Amino acid sequence: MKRPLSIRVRFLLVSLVAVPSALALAALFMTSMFSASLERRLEEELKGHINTIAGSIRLGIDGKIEHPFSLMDRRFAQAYGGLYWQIGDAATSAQFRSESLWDTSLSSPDDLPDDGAVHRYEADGPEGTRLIVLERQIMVSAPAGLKPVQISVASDTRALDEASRGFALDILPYLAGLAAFLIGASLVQVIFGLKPLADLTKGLDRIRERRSGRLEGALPAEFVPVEAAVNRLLESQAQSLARARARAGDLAHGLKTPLTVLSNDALTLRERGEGEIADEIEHLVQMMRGHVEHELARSRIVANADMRQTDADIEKIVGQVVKTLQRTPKGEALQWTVEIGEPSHVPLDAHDLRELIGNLTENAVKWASGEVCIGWKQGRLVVADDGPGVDPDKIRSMTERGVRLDSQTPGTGFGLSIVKEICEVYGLTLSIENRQGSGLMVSVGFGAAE
Amino acid sequence: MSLVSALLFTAPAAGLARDLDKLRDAVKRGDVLPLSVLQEKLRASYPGDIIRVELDEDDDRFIYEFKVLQANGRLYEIEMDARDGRILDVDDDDDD
Repeated sequence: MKRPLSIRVRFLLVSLVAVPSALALAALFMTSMFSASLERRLEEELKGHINTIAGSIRLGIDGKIEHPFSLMDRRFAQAYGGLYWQIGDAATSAQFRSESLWDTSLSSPDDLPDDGAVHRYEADGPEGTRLIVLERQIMVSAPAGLKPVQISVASDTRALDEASRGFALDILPYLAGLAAFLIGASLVQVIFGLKPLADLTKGLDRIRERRSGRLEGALPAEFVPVEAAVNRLLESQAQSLARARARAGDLAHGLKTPLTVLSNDALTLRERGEGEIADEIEHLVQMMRGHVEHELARSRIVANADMRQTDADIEKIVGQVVKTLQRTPKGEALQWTVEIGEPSHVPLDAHDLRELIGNLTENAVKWASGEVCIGWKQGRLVVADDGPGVDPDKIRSMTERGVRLDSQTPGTGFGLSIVKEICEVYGLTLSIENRQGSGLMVSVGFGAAE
Repeated sequence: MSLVSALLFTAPAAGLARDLDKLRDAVKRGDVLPLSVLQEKLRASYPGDIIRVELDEDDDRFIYEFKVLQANGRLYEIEMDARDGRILDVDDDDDD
């Protein structure tokens, strides 16, 4: 099944889209604010020029406007200098222009009201430039009465556009830095925010390892419903498990006495000469006893697992087991190799672990011809011998879950029953394989210890 | 509305500094009102932007010539006596 996108990737994707677009909008907004404020500044300057021109207007004796003095700014004097003025006299259609206008002139729109206020319009200037024009009609007293005079001052927007572009380029690195910071911050946020998930996993692991029966501990408020749901589930499971175990235990106990009676009956039958039937009954009784013993052993292991207070140390128990077996006649003759190179505490009841290691080692001793090796590496315990090994077809049936017990009758040479039970109860993985050359290798994986 | 006052003199540039020194001394003595007071008087009668200020000095008598641009575009030329702020003339296109 394909996993949905991780929460980190989701957060990253959202911030990768949202942060740059928000900052791009901000950049547009800031640049346009910057341009607008520059334009206001420019318009104030142009208004100043209008006033200076108005103050310098003089009428000749004939009532005509005289050519005004040249304004200070050199841009008024250079051809297409970027700054322009023009004075128009509607009555006489006389016109004075700045030298910068050169071979062009400013033409105001027809619909400009003659109300004496400053009017702003945009026009095309020389060399494809865009002009911002301020125009004002003033009334000057002349011998023949009031005389309207149009004063226009214009500036091209080249400097303005350049400044805006420069501003945009200037803020770009800061915005990029800000974007990186914000995206990084959102990642930190999600990593920090999801940290309690690790605590949740730890809590669940403790339950699986039977160190705890409930999900407990300092989890954030958001996990309270999950915590409650998990605990409800665990409780109901524990209850039904306990009921089933109790029933299986009762059944096993209940069968013990009838089996003894049945065994005696078989003896009686044999005495009467019914040997064939007696053999069959004996065989059946043995099988059923196997089931009962198995069930009783299992319920003891489960009880151990549930009531376990501490972990067990593989190194210590292997040492004890090896020491004991080395004193046996067979063990004395063998060469022993024990390699335990890393911390070996595993979440098992010490008694069960001793049972597990003891059975595996005893079996290895039983079949070994010269040596027994026990190793602990990367969460796996390996017990190997150099005996004859096992028929490959049999190996599979030995490790299968729920193998029928009648195929495991005593004398097959491998008392794996208890080992398998312990592995099942604690969730350990058991694997059996023939070694290269000769011998058998049994390994048990303690998944949680890896 | 920004107020732009261009202080310009009809006198030749060489005499400019001398005239201004005379004016400053006259203001100090109290013979002449300071420009700030005169502009306030002018604004009371002719509200608008004072876009040009000129000064004529003749025999220790100082006459200001103001140009006022009003909001409706009307341009006034006003002559004012610097001693007492009396308005001497309005819209006299005298080029002296």
